[in-house]
Amino acid sequence: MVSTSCLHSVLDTAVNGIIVIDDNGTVLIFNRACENLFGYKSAEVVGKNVTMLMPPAIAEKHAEYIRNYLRTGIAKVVGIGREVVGRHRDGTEIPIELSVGEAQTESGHQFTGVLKDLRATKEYEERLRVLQSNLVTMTRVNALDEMGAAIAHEVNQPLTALMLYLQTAARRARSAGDPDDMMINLMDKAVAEAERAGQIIQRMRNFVERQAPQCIGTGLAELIDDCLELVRVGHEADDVEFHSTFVDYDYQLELDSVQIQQILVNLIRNAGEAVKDQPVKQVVVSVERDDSNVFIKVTDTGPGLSEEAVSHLFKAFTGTKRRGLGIGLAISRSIAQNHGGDLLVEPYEEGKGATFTLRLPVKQETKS
Amino acid sequence: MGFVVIYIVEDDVSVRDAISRMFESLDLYCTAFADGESFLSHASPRVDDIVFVDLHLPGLAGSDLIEKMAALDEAPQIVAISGQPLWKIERDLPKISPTPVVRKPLKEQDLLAYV
Repeated sequence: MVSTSCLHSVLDTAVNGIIVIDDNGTVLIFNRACENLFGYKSAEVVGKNVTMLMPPAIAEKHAEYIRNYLRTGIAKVVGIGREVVGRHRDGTEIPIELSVGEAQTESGHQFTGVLKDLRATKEYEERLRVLQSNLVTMTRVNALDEMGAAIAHEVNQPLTALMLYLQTAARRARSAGDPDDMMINLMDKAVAEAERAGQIIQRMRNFVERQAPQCIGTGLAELIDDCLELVRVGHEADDVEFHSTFVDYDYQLELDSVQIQQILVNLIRNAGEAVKDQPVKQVVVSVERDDSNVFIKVTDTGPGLSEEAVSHLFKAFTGTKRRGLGIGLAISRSIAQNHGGDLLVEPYEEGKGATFTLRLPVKQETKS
Repeated sequence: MGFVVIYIVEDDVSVRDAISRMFESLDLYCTAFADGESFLSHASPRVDDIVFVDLHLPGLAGSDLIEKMAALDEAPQIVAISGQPLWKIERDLPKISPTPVVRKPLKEQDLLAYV
């Protein structure tokens, strides 16, 4: 037989909330963890109905739940456990993982509830979800923008040459000794068409012309951790080890966090792919700093990149992956350059994996 | 006054050639360079000359080249050419001397306006 004081000590030591109620729902025990969880003192709850700890919609039905269980013996929570919502003294709702056991005592049926606070877990999941959806949206928008900008830029050059050649040729045709009217007419039409193409490019460029990056002070270490976390989500199955060696959580950098995140997630994800079939599956993010730059390096234990592969790496539409357009790295580099930095790959070394270096300027550094 | 020389600093071969041909066909004297370094070591533009500079150059950046030239006592007329988005042009161009910008894709009229 356990003494009462011992029982209380157990109850108060428990990390999880513990509540015992009778078959009317009257609270018999409300331990210390519960006091923290709900903001009520034990004395304020014991003797009252447990429904005071629930949002009104659930509280209404609680008595019925108990009656149903006692009558039918069909358990909805007892012995199963489920996620429920509790209500704090200040009215906020608290996600709780609840498991319930029952006991027949001399004084009747009693239920014991063990409550685990899910707020931290929920917040974390929610944060990750927001991060992920931001990233997906930004990646899409950026991919479209960058593709439009890349096409506009690539086509611009030949179009400019074409236009000037045509105009020069048209002028020559016109000033020739015996002007060929048909030829002049055709040249003028060709000029008009080149002009039309130019206008399309112009419109496209106006459409995709993005704003300069929105740079705000961001904790770099935290940003890297977030990126690793985002990639880990997709790599739970294969035992790739992702980690960061940068732990200066006070270090702040002016950057467009979503865009930089996009680059890093892209690099880390690529690195994860590269080590998948390797004996050692490791991806390490490290940071080096000098007076004017910060270098974020993503190193993997994959097969490395040959010189041949490196030469095509940053060109759009040359990817070797089955999925995607192969514009990831091209976009990443152009984002880095928009920040006044760059994205580079370290030269190939026999027996070593690949290392990508994201360089960002720190001239606008704000040390917190 | 002597005859005006038109300088072109442009890394794209076809664009460089097309601009040169266009000026030549109008009997204007022009000479073209693929990058800022070779321009600086071979050309000595005078105050009446015109220099068209592409902002997007390998090596010495177009904006740096413009800044260098604008700092000369008898600086030639400088016109920037760019296919970049506006905000990038604005970021890159030196603030000290207002430089006109011609944006690609361009027509001969765009260039001839400065000659």
